[in-house]
Amino acid sequence: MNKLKYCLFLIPFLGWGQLTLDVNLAVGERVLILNQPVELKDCSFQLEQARFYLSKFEFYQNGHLVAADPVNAYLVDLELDSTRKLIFQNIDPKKVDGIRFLFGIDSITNTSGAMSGALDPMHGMYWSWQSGYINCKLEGTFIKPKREAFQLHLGGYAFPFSGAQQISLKTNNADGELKVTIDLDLLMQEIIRPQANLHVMSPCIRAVEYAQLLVKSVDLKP
Amino acid sequence: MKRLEVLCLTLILLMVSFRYSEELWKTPSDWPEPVYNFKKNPLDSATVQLGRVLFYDPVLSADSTVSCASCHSPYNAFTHVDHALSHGIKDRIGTRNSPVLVNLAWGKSFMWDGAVNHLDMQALAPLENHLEMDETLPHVLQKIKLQAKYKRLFKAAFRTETITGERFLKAISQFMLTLVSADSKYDQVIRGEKGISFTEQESNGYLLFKEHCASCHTEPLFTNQTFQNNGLAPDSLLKDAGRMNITRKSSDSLKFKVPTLRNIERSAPYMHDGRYRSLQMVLFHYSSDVHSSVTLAPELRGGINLTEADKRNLIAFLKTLTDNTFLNNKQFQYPRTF
Repeated sequence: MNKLKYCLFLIPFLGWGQLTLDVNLAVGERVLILNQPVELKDCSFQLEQARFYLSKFEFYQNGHLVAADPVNAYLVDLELDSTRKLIFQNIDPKKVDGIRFLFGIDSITNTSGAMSGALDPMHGMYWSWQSGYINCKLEGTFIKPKREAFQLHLGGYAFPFSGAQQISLKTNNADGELKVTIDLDLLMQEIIRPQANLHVMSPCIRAVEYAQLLVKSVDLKP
Repeated sequence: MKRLEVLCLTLILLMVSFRYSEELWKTPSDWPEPVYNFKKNPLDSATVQLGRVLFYDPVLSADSTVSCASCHSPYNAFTHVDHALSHGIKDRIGTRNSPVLVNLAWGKSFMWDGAVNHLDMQALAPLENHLEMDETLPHVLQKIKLQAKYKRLFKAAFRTETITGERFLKAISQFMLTLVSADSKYDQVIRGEKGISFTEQESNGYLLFKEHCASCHTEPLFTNQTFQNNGLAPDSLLKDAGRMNITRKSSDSLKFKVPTLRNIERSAPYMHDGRYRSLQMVLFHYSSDVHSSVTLAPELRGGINLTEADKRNLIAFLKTLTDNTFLNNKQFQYPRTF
């Protein structure tokens, strides 16, 4: 009987396994840390707040859906290390060669009323003046070419300002630990241009363009 | 014998609980099905009570002076009597007239410009508006967590003392969902209740209403929930573009949500900016003062042709939408015990 108990305890290690995604923001090869200046080609900046939703995770093998994550959404907050690590129980990394998820929150969730967990409006990622989740908050300061603040609250769920972006990534890593890196280089080069907006705080075409730029630079590495 | 007693007691309990749930929600006969999904937030007396206590509690505002009920008084169909624009903390004045809170379970969108897409999220808008309650949801939750009464009320409603944003919002929704007005004289006439009938003036008004008003103020909700430009000249101080603020489409410029007319006798002043203090002024607008612009509702081009007698008849009919059962319902008023 005792042996059986030990066997039960060992099942998670023997059988289904788990997959972990370590989510980071970066500029090029450099991982971003809040409040630390980063040099780019024509500018430098520091990020002071970075929070964003990743949602609707699906796992594929040879193009076929293997599993869909029951958790609706994750709120990644660079201030809280624990939120950067997404753990998917019972996903066998050996049987997964592709991951799909949304950067942001889909329109159905946006119109479904009050939610719990990461989607609880008390996390400050919900617009109160106009319904809808803020998919991503990036706030900070440009230091060069001149000192000025930037505030990007990217969201919107209704056409033509649907901000959530689908991301599909390939993986052939069997050990279950993967790193998802979102490179801010393209976005930061874009917003520092003279005609660009340093403050985007509502659903609009600019918010959609910025979100599209962000997800262009998402990478998955072992 | 004991088995029989248990059986009887169970039957009585079932009947009582059935009656109680019937009291909490009943779709009026011949009304459309509600838009609100009750499966996701089933009405429950303890949660309705929690929502009611929150609704009347000024702790929801930054300086604890303004509650939801400050601008939504039950005696005025849950709007603010004599206030053209909403009145927030520190005597700040908002930019819109506070709408009535009636039959919200049928609401497809909320606010004059439809900015809020779900009843659950409605309370966030005034709560976080700088000109109204000027609070944040996390801070309100912190404040109410300190109060023993809320621990007790949340426990009764959700079987846990843990206070979350979702529970807070759903409780307020539950109270607002119970605000159903369906027992006016108009309703009693339509239901064919014995001894109730329109006067001649009301009947004439009803015919005029159906001819000139019902395309937008559609029965039984007395709104079709669309956004329309009803010909109000833009206010040069408020500069309110209405629905266009949300959709950013020029075709939505100066459009506002068609409000319900239920209890209109008690919900003055009228229009999104509360510019008209009486029903006479409203009808003067529609007959003689419609401001023409690109987005004006086609039905209002050239105004509505109404004689003075027509106006009197229409007002007589509109007064039949006053629902005293609703306005005086003690279950909707300040909770004296909690």
